[in-house]
Amino acid sequence: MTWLLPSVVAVPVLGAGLTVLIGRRLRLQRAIALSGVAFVLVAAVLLLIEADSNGAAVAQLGGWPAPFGITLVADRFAGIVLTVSTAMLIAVLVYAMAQLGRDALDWWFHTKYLILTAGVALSLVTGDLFNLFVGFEMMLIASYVLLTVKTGPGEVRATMSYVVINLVASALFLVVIAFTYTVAGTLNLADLAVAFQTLDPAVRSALGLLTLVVFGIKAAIFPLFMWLPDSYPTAPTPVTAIFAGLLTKVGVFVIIRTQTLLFSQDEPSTLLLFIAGATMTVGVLGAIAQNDIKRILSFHIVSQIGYMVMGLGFLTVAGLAAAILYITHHIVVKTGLFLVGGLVEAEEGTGALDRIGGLLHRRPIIAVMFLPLALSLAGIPPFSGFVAKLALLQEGLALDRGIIVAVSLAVSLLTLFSMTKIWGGVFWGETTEPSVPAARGMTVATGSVVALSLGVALFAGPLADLATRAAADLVDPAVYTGLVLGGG
Amino acid sequence: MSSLRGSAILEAGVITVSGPLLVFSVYLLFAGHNQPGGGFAGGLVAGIALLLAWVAGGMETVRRVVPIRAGVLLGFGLTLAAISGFASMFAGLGFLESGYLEFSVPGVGKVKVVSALAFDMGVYLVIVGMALGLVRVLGEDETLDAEAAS
Amino acid sequence: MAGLLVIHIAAALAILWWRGRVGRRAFLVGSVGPLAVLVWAIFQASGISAGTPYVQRIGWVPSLDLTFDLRVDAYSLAYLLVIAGAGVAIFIYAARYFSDGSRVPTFAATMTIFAGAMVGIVVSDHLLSIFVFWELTTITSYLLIGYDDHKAQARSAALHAALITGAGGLAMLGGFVLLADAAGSYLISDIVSQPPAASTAVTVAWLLILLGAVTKSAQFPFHAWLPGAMSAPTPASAFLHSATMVKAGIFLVGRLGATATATADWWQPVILVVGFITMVIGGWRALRQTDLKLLLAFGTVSQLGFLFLLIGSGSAKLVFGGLALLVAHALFKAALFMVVGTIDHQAGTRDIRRLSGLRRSMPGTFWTAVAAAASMAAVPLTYGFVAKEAAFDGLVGKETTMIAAAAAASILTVVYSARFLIGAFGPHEPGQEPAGPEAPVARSALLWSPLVLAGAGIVLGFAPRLVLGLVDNATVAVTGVAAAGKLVLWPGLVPALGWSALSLAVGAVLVARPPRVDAAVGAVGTLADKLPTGEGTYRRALPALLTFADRSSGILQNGSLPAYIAIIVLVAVALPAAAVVGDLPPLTRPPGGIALEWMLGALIVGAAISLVFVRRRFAVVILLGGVGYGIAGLYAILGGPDLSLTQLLVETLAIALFAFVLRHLPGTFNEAVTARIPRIVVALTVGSFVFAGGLLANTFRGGRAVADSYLAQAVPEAAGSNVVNVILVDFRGFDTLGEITVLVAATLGVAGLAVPALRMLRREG
Repeated sequence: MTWLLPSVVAVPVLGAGLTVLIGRRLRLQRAIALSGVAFVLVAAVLLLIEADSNGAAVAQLGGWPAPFGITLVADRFAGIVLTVSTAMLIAVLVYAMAQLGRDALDWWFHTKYLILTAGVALSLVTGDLFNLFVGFEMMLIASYVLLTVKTGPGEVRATMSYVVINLVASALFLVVIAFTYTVAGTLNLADLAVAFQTLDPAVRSALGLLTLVVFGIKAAIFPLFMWLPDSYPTAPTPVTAIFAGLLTKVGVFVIIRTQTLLFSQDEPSTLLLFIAGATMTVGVLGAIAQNDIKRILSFHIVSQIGYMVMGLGFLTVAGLAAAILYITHHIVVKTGLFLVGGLVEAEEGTGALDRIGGLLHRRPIIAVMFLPLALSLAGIPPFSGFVAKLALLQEGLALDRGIIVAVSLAVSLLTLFSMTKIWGGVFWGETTEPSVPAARGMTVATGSVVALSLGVALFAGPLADLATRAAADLVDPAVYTGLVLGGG
Repeated sequence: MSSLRGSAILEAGVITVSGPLLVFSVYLLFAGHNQPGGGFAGGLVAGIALLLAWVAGGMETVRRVVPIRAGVLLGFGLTLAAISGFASMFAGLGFLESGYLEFSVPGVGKVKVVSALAFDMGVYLVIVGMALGLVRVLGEDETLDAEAAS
Repeated sequence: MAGLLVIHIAAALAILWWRGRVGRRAFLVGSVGPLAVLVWAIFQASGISAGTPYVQRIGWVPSLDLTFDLRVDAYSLAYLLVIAGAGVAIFIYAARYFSDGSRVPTFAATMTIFAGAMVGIVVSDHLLSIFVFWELTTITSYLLIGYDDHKAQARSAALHAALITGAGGLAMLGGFVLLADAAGSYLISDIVSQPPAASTAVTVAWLLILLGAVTKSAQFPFHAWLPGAMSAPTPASAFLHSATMVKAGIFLVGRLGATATATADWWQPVILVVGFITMVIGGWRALRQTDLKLLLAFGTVSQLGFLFLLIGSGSAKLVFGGLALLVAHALFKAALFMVVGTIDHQAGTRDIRRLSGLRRSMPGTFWTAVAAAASMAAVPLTYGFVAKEAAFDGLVGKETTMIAAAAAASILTVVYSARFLIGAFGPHEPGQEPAGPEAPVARSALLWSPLVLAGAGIVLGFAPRLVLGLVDNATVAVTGVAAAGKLVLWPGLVPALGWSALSLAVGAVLVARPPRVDAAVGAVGTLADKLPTGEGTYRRALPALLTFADRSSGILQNGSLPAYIAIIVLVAVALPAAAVVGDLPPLTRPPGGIALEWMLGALIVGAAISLVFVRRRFAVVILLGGVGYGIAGLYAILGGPDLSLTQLLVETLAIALFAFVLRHLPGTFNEAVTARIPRIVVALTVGSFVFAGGLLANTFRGGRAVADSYLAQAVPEAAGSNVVNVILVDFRGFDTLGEITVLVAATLGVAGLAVPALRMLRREG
């Protein structure tokens, strides 16, 4: 297992190298990209199994014991998120191949995609703060260049705000790393957890808040989210879909990791719950004000992040389990929704609600795929979002946090409202002129994501149990430090 | 920049400088484990050499100095670095775990070869590839200049 | 039991699968669902009525207490029979009502799913599984109302229904969780047998649950969605919006009414008041409709109000009357809806003012309507009369105002029943273009389905014993006591009969004088229109919400990158600062450097400050280089020749590349900088924050650092004396692998971005 863990990063990197090396041979590039991501998926599943039976898969790279070398850790939490993420990476890759196959092709798409995969994987499994920075950089540089797959002045301009904001975040991240290393003399997360226990509480909480801001920018929480709805909708669908499904969730993952491991608290964090409520609310208000599928969906990314932060804010096993469940469900559903949005755009040539109509009658298959995803997003049973929201609701009421629960329910209603807006605009209404059917591969890829989201709902029972076990590890930092540093 | 061109003396001078710079960059790569240098610094020196070559003679000269496509250097460098990580696993070590061999070469003495060197060579190649790629972009710029002028 | 739900799903899937070929026969496929339920219910009836509920559990997410616990007792059985009975009749009717069309199968499948969900609600013992099915009915109802999706009116009616019932549903979910929290179980059977102690949480829970029931069952002030829902094709209206879905709320308050009454003393009065207002408003507005379907819809609102207050009251006698009336209502209202459907189908309109001569051309439909309307108006010899007597009987002995209100509503019912019959089958109004059937109704389901239901309303009037056991056992099942109520054709000279007679008599008088009634209705109606209604609130709230959303996101999302950055960095400063402010220890001054360090520091700071003031681009590049070289110098002094070398090389390369790029740009920055002062403030704040943070971190510097171990281990363990390089390729080689990957991506990106950009610049001149 010690080789499997680094290879979730190294194999896609190797693949990226090979795709550049072989040059412009499309079939070979595709084969390399697909097998690279498929490898990560298999590895992720194996790691999750390993983590669930032994607590975590740990690799001390270079043979240096923690904290001297870089440690990679796939605990249950990382295993779950990695598995779901790579499943989406494969689906979107297939979708992209089908779509870009018809467009003027960007030669290095596969390279960038593999680097993105490596960056996501590294950010999830790393056990080292600086290595996390590297993982983020990989993810970001790949996303910068992916955003400009089809370059026009508009795209470059929209990308600007994404790039600049993320550079600011990276700079702040470096500040965090510098401060952290100064006070603790180490960057290994487990080692840091130990070191921080004796740190002055005020300094520790200041550092915790700065960390929250840094990763909060990536996760697009209130009030740091504004860059997201501006920059996401302009990118090509596969790119937006994977960004929407994964990148902000990696941000949330890291927030949860750092806040529980390094800056753990004993009682619910009112600050986090406030952020959660504000994030949900501003996101959904933005969404209902929009009139374009991708723009609506982009605002919902923000809104849904609020629910995950809500689960974290409870800082209990049940709360974190709910957050993990939410992340799992959301990665699938959000990716799927963007793929559906992309299908609509591909067929109609636009995503503007007032220029499309009656798709239900022309392309019922797209409507059938949209419906469960949209309802799931709004938390309507029996779809996956309901289970995750119920978990949050139960824990919120058990902890007597009525306000945030009320906000979350109201936001659910508004989410449903904005989904009916898409439904009414795109699938109902006067039938617009016949369209070009999208490539079959795009539909198949989207369909498999929908099937997976139904699977998440169907197997919500075992998943919830797994999430609970993962959350129990998170609540007690000693579990993580014990696994990495040995002993405990 | 193109005003600098055409000066044979300059071109000759630059080529004279960039040749040794390239050699120096390779030295830095190998010396890196014990003295200042390493793949990163070495690659950067090579990059400056390429830039100089371009200033002096344009893409023609650059191609003469490094007759390889940037993509090949980038791809090979990255592949090499990644493979060197896996290679140590075949030797029974962990990923990227370093081992070294010590043997004596007649006339030179004891030579210590560290497995991390392969990794560092990958780094070097990527940096050189990057520099080459950037110079190529500038070259593209120049071609366009030429087209505009004609 | 679960198998019955599966049958619904399977039927729906089968319809969708063969949607290209099945046509309107899809409804016959769908009818398998209700038919199976009907057969099952009849076979299980005796055992369940004897007091042995049918119980089944299906797990889903056990850790969240989310399971499907099914429990069919006599109360459920009553609803099951209503749903399945009406369902079979309506599905068969629908198979004739529609003509083959590509959209019909989807509609049939949705209605089949709905039928399954409805069954799910009434057989669930688990609060959460009720919620699951409840929301399914909301969604299917949304899809069915919007069937004519090219009409904006249908779409907005569908949305209205979905939002109101959806909001109620979510509130109810909150109530369910609170209630289960207090009671320690999600099972209604547990909650009923061991009610939670009264507390604020329980009060809130009851309120929220009530909100769910009130919205679903179209009670005042949320009733307005139901008339709107009449945009749905008539079979859906008959099934969802009169016979079944709108009774879900009534089902729920009936289930929990007795327990709620016991734990919250406000429950019963609230239920009664809400029910009465709904009843009167609905009846009143029914009088003013000219569309037969809307007339029935408001009639339904009125009847639902009556059922709501009776069944939700938790008192055995009232529940008994309510359940008797529930059966009656399903029979006559579904029949009447189908009659309207047939009229619409044949005559092409439902407008009272235009319909003419239908009595002669559609005699079968006419007599069906007469039978059903008589039952609705509670004319003696119908089952409607029997049931209403039972209801009056329950009310007698309560406050007289309540009976009076019920009587008033009954009078309205008599009047609108008559209005329905006269309007549909009487002559058209003068001045209106008359409309009659273009073709006679063949002996088909269009005739038979309503006839069977309306006929049952007469037969049961003569044989009320057939339902007595059902209603009685159901009452016992939810209230725990027998109501000792009676269902008889002739009740004898009891007070209840007096109220019935009075209602009928006054109603008859009013019917006999239509012009005066119309005038009065018109006068009061104008007045009533000025009162605020739930509908008006909804119509105003929706645009207001959209405007608010638009404005608020316009403010937050103003598209200004500098504003975004300012917010981000200020938050990054404010949050940590707030955490340490107040208990800051004295900061330790770091050890002072040598003179060269100070000089380099001055160079860096000086270059950085000058950057802000220069306007020539090339000067900016040089100054940035100055900052970089200064840092390279600091590295060299602090003992990192490698870093220093690398930094120097990077700076050199960067400056050279900048120089090439600058050729394409104007020599100076031309754009005027706006908001200069705020920018300076933000920049200084962040700068001071990082500076102070560095000092603070230094004050709390820990005693150890992994760097020390690197120095110790580099030569012996990693075989290298250049520690920096050993860190890069060995200790932290994985970082380096990541970084060179970043460089590869960056190079590809630059190539991909710059080449087209350069070409574009060139083209633009």
